[in-house]
Amino acid sequence: MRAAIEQHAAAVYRLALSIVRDPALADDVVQETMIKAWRFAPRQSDGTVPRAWILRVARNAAISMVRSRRDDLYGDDAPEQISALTVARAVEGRAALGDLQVALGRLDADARALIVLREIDGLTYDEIAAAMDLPLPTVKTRLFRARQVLKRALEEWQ
Amino acid sequence: MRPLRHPSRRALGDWLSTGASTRVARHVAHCDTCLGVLETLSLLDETTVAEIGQALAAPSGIEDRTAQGVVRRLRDEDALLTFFDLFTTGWSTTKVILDLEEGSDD
Repeated sequence: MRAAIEQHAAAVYRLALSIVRDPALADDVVQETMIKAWRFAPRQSDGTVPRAWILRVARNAAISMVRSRRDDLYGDDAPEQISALTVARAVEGRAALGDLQVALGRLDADARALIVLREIDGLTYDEIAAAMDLPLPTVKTRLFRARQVLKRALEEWQ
Repeated sequence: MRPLRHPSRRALGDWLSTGASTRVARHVAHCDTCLGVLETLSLLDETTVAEIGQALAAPSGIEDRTAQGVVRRLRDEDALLTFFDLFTTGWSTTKVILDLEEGSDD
């Protein structure tokens, strides 16, 4: 288990934070993901846990956490998209969070995850498709659109 | 045979920004050439990528903190299972006795 934590914890945290946007919740996601990896993960020939597998588990755990927190906050009146909530929060706290956080807030959770997986963790498109459970063309078109939204949003504050 | 026509670079740029054209969306979903153009058009500069990396960086010591958290969670789960066992032991024992008594009637 320690090897999987050493190898994947930082990437799982980044992905989780991009989705849940709360460091404490991101910590929870990392721990939950590592426990699942310890119990259920397939092993590669060298004994390591496949990166795409663990990121997929992390993504699902993060989305579940966002949904359950949204239900806690709103009950039956929960908005359909969490992005509206995150955008509102980001806009309210713009001065503190910085322009980049505002720009990231304009993206939905999956779009932020795509940006992190590709731009920060350097996954291939195939790996991202496996981690996000999306078809390859969808990964590309959503990623490219997300990057464009981000660029536009940042241009507004230059 | 009519050659395959592609959206112009400008149309692709507009679609990237607005996502408005369903015709372009349908085309790019199956066209590697246009996906390549979109990839180029949407490239982020190094500064932005570095800023995103900073904004979402894992805190130092995440590995140790995670290992400790995992151990704590597993210990909590074990404690809960033991607690559950304590409550169900009485019932299990009663059931075994009843089964034995029923068996002795035969």
